[in-house]
Amino acid sequence: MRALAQALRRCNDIVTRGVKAVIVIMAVLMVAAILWQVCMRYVFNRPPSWTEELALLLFSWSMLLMLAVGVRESFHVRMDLLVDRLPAVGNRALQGAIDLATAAFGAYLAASGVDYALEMYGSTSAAIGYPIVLLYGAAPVCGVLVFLYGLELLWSRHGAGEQP
Amino acid sequence: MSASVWILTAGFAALVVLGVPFVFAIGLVVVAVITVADIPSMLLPQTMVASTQSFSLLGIPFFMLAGELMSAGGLSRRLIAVADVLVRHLLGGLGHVTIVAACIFAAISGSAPATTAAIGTAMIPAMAERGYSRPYATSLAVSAGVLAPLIPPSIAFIIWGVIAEQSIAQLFLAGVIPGLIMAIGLSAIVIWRAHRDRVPQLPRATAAEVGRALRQGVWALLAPVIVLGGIYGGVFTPTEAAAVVCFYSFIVGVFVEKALRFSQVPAVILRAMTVSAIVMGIVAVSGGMGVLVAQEQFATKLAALLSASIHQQWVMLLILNLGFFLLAAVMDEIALMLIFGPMLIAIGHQFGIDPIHFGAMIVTNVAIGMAAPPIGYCLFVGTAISGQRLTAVARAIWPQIVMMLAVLMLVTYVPAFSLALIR
Repeated sequence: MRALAQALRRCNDIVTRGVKAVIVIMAVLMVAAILWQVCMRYVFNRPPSWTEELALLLFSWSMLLMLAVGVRESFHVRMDLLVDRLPAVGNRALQGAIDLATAAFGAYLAASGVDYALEMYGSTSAAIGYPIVLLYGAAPVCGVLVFLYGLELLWSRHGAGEQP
Repeated sequence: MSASVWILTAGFAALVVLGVPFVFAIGLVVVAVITVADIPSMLLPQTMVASTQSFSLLGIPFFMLAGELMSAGGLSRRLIAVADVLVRHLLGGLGHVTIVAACIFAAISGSAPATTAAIGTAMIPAMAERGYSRPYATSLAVSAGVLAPLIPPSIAFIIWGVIAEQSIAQLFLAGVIPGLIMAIGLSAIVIWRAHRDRVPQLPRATAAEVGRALRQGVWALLAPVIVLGGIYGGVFTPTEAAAVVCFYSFIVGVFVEKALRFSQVPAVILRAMTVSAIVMGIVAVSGGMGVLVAQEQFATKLAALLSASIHQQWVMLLILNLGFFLLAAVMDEIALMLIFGPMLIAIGHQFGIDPIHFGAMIVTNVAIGMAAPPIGYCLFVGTAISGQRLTAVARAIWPQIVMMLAVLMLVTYVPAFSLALIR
């Protein structure tokens, strides 16, 4: 069990590094696309039709990916007034329940996201004409990451509890 | 009440109180209602993606990134130096410096927590060194930071503009006067405290010092000119202006100030994307909750209930403001806008309130909520910077909160404050 937890953590370490690199590249491309749009409009008087669509595709992806990373880095805002006042045992139990609920949400998003992406299979975007699955794929990927990170948190807390 | 309504209200409240992050509390509520009410599960992924497909909202990560680049590139420091030479000699000098610097930074970034972080990091230690109590110095950085949602550009106005389908450029203008009045109110509190605590005054800056600060600060001062001049000169949309100012801050930070190294850029981008995802995550999951709330006709029922029992406009506005303020004290302000937005808009419409004026009122309330204890983004950022306890800062900040509530009343009952700058 412990070996499995460690394997998951190592796997998530690598995945997170990759995801963050992708987010940085997406952010740069988003800004670049909009700058190109402004530039084309003023310099060449020909605003391109694809820049906005590309920027929005990257925007949805980068935000949903970062949302998932937030599980691992615990940056999402929450009300911790009650949690902090609980005795250690209750605190750990409640934290565990929250981790479990988060992972369950991730699993649900992954499953329903795959359904939806399959449902939309075959449609294309308006301006660029990219397959729309490329956009809606962001939801299940976000779900899988949330699930993995939730599981990792659950396990790491559980493991910490076992130590004397 | 149906099971769905119980989940949307009591279930959601329970999850929040138990400490589930807002984004997942909303997400789990959506999943629960989908399951109970037998709604297709695809609603969740569909609304999560669709809610992020908005060109206006794309401005959020850009404005966040602009703020981060300004700080990393040393431009925030230049702004503080300019504010310093201009107002430090007044009674309560460093307090005024904090406020003026926050106003200028707010004209670039539009994010309250980013403004508190950018200004607070430099000003809280500086004030503490000059004998200001740390909790008070922190409370000043927090309350100056919440000027950012009111002074254009503003992320809160962008989100409200998307919900209410109003012009974002016009909404930005509606916040200018309320923001400036709040800044003046803060300065008055600074003077009062300095007088009471006998804070020694600093010497007035010499002409040479002023000249040097302005010369060195000219690149930083140009940034708000690009943003606001660009938007109101009809050159860019707010989102485009944000992208342009990102580029500008990057170039100035790397080549002019030489404070920003290429190797730092990924970390700077990730910081901006992190704070953006905190906001956008809530926007994404609230899309589904919005659909479900609409399906239960929750908003319309509540709006009808309220307007059946309350007939005077002023009573209704008072109740809306009070309700929003109390909820914002314990809840995420963005989620609050997204969830209650449709109901608020319905009521505003029923009472014939100008939608731009109404938006200014909501965003003023949002701004106060970000500084008001116990739950406020800026409060968290401020305490994290200064290492002070939340309770200590909460005790120090109440005069500012009272003043801001007075400004909220002005904005609510005198439409001219929000509408004067709009044709």
